[in-house]
Amino acid sequence: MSLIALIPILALLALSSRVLAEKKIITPDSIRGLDPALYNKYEPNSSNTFQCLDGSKVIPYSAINDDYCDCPDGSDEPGTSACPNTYFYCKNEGHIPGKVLSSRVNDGICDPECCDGSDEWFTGVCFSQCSEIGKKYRAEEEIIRKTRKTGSKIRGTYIKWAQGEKNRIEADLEAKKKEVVEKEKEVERARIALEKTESSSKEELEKKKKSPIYKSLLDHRLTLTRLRSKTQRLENELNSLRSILEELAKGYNPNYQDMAVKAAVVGYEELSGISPTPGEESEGDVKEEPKEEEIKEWELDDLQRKDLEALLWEHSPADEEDGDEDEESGLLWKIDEYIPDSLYDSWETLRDLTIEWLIKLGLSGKSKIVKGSAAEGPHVAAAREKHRNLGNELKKLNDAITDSEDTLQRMNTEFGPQAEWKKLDGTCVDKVSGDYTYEICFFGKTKQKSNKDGSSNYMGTFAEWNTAATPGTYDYYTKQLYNNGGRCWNGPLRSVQVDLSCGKENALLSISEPEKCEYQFRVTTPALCWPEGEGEESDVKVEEDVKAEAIKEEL
Amino acid sequence: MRSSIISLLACVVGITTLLLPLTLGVKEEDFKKCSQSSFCRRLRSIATKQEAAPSGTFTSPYTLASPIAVADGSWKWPLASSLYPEIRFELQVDILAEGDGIARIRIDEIDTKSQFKRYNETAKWALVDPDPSLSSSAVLKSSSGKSSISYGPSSSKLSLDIQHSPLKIIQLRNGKPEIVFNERSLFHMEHFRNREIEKTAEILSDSEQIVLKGDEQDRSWFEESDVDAFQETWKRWTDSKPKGPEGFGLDLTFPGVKHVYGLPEHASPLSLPDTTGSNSHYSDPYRLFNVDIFEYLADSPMSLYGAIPLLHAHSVDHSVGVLNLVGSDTFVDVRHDSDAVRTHWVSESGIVDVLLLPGPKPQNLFEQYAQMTGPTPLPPQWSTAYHQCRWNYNDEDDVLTVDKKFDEHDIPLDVTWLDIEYAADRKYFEWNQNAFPDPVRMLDAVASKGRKMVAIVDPHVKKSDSYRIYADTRDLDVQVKKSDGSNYDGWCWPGSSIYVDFFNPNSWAWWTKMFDLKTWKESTNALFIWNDMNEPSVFDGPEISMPRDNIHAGGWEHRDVHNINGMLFHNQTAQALIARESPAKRPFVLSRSFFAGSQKFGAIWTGDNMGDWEHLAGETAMLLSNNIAGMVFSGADVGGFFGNPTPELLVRWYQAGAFMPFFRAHAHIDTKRREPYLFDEPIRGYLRDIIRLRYQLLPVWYDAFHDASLTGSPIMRPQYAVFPGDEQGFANDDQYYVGDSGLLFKPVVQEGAETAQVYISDNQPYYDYFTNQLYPAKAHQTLTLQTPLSTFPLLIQGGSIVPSRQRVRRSSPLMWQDPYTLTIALDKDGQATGQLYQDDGVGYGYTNGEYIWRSFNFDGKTLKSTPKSAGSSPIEKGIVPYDENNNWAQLIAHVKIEQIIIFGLNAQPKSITSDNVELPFTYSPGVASNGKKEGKSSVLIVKNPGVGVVSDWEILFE
Repeated sequence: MSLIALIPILALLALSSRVLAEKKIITPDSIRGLDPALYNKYEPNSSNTFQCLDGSKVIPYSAINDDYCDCPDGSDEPGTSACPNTYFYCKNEGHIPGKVLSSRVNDGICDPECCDGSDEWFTGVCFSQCSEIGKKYRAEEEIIRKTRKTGSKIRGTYIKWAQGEKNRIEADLEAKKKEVVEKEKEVERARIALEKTESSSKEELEKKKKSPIYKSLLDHRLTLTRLRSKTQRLENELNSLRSILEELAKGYNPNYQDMAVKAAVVGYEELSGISPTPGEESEGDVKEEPKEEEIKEWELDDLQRKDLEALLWEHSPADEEDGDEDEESGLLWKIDEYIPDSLYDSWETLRDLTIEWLIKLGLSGKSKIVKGSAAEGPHVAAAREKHRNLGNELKKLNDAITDSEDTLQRMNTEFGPQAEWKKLDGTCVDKVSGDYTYEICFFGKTKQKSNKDGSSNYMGTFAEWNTAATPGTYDYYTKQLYNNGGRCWNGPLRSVQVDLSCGKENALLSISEPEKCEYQFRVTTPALCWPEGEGEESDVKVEEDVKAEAIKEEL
Repeated sequence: MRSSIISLLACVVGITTLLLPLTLGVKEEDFKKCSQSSFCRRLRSIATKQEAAPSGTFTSPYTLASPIAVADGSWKWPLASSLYPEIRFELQVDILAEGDGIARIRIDEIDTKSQFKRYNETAKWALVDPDPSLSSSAVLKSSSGKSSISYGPSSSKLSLDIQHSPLKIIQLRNGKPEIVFNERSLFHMEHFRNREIEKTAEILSDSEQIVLKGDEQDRSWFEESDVDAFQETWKRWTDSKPKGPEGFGLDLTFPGVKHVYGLPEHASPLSLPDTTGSNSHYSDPYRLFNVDIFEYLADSPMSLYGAIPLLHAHSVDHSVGVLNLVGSDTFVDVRHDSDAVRTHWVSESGIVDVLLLPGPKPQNLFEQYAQMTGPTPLPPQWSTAYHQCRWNYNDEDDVLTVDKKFDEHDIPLDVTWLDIEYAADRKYFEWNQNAFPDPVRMLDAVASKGRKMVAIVDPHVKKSDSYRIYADTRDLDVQVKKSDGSNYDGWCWPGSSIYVDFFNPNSWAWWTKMFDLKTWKESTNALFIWNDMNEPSVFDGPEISMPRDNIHAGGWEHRDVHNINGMLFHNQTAQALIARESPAKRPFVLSRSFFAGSQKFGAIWTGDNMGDWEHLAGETAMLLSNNIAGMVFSGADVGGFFGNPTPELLVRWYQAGAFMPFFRAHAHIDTKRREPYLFDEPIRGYLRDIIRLRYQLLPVWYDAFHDASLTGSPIMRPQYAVFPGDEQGFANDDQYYVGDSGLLFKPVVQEGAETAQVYISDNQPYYDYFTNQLYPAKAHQTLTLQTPLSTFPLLIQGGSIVPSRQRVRRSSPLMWQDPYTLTIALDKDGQATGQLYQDDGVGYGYTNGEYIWRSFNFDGKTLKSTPKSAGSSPIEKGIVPYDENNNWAQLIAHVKIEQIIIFGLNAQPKSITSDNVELPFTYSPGVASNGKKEGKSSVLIVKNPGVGVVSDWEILFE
């Protein structure tokens, strides 16, 4: 603003301002800056006084807008900057009326809220831009309305889809529940059969257990177990240390002028063979030269899991004629039966691989192996297998039921008032921002992927909606928190607060990091385009392409 | 900080065994103690020897020959040391024409056979005129063994008694000694020595003494042998010390005083406690060596970011000062004895160049210092308003959101700051395009509301050929060099960096060009600059700084100029901002490092403080210390740089910040956001009110800045400076007056404090600014004020007229034509005075008389506004007086006084008239200014008196 240009205007106004101030005001509509809703409180009375709106004081009517703050509530100065915290009402013809804080009155700035420039009555620097601003405003409103309309249609399809999904799950659930009842009966029958078979071979075993070699073997096993747990503990500690250092090396803040940290990082990188050259980010894997002497994990597993009782059976003379050939693989099959269900799958893979390997090396003759050929006799093994298989089936069935029930439960609460968000469960949107691509998968995880080296940081998992709002309200669905992400160097666990609004598309608009490793995403989704008349419609936040389209229209 | 990193990680992985013993805060071991510094160890040991020697047996080896006149007011004495009879020294004493009789004492080694020269250019950088004109009236009388110089204005009767053998110089006023040089015989200047001879000597000597080949003299009674004399290794750094030992020690005694102040910057009390002797508060001397210190201690003599080698000695009847023009590492011991305060200054290199400031009152010292080093110029008015900073506002959207939020909450804001993250790869001047795609658009948006921005530009330059600034420094050959002559690089924010050598004049025009709006196209005239890290900070250097054997222009070693270094950078940036526009506008540059003279170039702040109560409490004394040493435009990071202050602490910090000359909130990148609008009520309301109060009182701050620009007066005035005769206030450093406004402020710095105590020195009534509670006149009283979180002690001294602007705008420039309120707090005789200075706030029109400066006077019956002119002090000469028709005055001719409030009248006036027009007023009875009991004062409010700020007027109270 050029001061010089203002001189003539100011001088003129200065001369007249006192005159203006003392001019007797006849009607409230001539009171500058007064909200028409308050006109009735400013009617002149017979004693020519005005009572401050808070009732605290009675002042001469002429003291209204005399550029001096008489009323503690500022009600005597709607049109000047004399009182703090009051508002100047702008008629804004051609646009909607607005108001500006009294501190904006005659400050020389043309505020868009007062597009008619009436608040700059003394400085005179503003001219009405209401028709232009009004036009733009209406165009934007129209875009918002359209977006909301389109968005709510899409939202309608989400709701419909969710309804179908709900019906399907419910039907499926019914069927599975019936199946469970049948399956439980089968399992029970198999269990009884197994128990009967087992008890008959027990007695003989007890005798064999008395041998000293068996006792010694028990001792060995105990020692091995302790040794392994110690190894495990040391490895855990090593890994923890490594992960501390890895985290430090990856995320350390060079903004700390701390040469000790730098030395630690360089040392770690050397130790782990990472090239310290920047840009050549390594995965941080420690190269491991396989050592010949190294004991394989599975070998130890094997030793530990070896069923000693089964071995006792094996060494009974009756079995000797079976020959060595099938020994190893046979053993593997025997272990088979003592593996707890929870580990069975992984064990199975290992076993099959091992057998394959043994065959390849010529150590084991054939893949044809009769299960249970050694220890207990095939009848026990078969009974056990049957029981276990049935148990597994039952468990899977129950798991599926829990899942379905959980989904239904979430569809009634977490997935929105009409389960519209269910459609977005697992949908991902991303955006490139600076050196990173940010991704958010609704109700899942968020990530930050480097565009330089492909490394990625986990930023958190869906935790909750806007807990500050009442569940079910529109506000409740305008924020999501994803937390417990990866830890920042010298910082918190990464987390993301997602600010959601209505838009035609599911899109990640912007990413910011107001505090270290605490991110904010702005996301649009049709799921928040509640149709007019639904919920607190006035509060529906519409974003997305308002600006872009407004620019388009301008062009 | 450090412990939390580790402990957090440890929690994640669940390993508790990793928790090593860790210390919080500063790593003291990163910085040298005196005992770890070769020159300090050697020179300080002289004091130990002196103390251990039987009384009267320790004699200075230095003696003077007869004086030789150099010019009027200047004499030389050949100076010799009995330790090294073959070495020649010289004492020169100048009596300066200006400054009420300032004596300048210089000592250097002359006719040396050494290839080296002692650094003698500190004065060139620190003084306005490195060769000040000499007094023609000073008279030297010399008789055998003694010289005596009489000088000073007729009122002062100063003399300098110079005893030849042993060397001793006494400054006397009216025959009474006030400063004694070499009273304890500790003065020593290490001459340049031959490394080879010394090496042999070391081998031959036992651990306690040096015996030179062919010289049987035992010097161990004075000099300590030192294996580190020619090469010093500390931690992993080796200082090659090509010049060998070249330190010097000064022995300055101040008879008859109990308080010494100054030597900023330290986190220590204003009245400096002892560092030696039986009452020592600290075990190490005060150190002056600019360093980038991380989480500094709240009470320590450790060196910080700035160094002003200025000391004031003060007693009820006199004040004297010493300015030691030395830029190398300096340690100062202070000891209070019953008869005097004794100080011992040891420096690593340089000549002795000491100015004795004669006083006799603190105000004279401020003026004398300002005459020598220059007063702080008037800053842009907006820079005295509120600054919002954070490391970092991440992008354009972030900046504009902060800007908008302040508006939404009606909290005023003038300046938004950008820390290092704005720059791509910390290549200052180059914006991070992802975050700031269109800096000019952003700057224009901010400027549209009268606001400004500040971006950081540090002195380290990323070593990258594609970086224009780096390539320029390489091509111009203006980088600091290593001892072998190659360019030095060190590690800082951008990684491997070079350091611009601003001692090299070739860098100056180039640096100016860098800020030219045509060169730096992505800046506008709304962008101002922050010079951080200019100690200089080097992350992988000794003491987080540069090796001392680095080489600057002219071949000087870094050790010689270390403390001056940051000031040159500050200066050049300020000059560049002045040059970028025509007509020129006032620059604003914030620096972290400073030296004597830095006040001429902008503001400084107290660096990386912590967001805790202890640091909040410590800031006041630090800032008072800066203020008495000329560095008035100072502030502290409001909220504390490190940590997350509680809402209570933050409110208290804002209260303190609103009464600091430089008022900026700042926070580390790891802290939670704490912009004032982020809080819930009532905290937000408190913060808003405090910031608005600053804006209402901006006229008071501008007046204080104006006074400082004329006379070097502190803006924050400690008790001893305002009441130099009240001994009870001499140690007070937790409250202060704002300029000469009569506002007495005390920050509340205790958690949960419901009351605070304010010491009143003078026999005048004081009025609570917020409640108009009147505390009747009584000298030497301590008031207890209620201080719930919403308020704090702010008193108006009876006799003051405080100008304010009650209408607060979004930014301070928007307030230029808003009316003023005059708050008149009557003294016990029912009178008051005040002032108001205003100009356009940004340009240099004021130097041509385009300003208004009013004096307000109320004598009990008449309130008058009359023109005010500069005072009689010599420093105010040359101030262009103004007439009422100057351009600025015409422009604000319509600006009115909207309200006059008078506290303490003893009765309601019958009528109040101006130009025979009756003025409306209200009156509420209460305690009068001459009353004896505490209570609400009477309050008279004159509404719209119809007078302006430009012209003369009178208002009659009958």
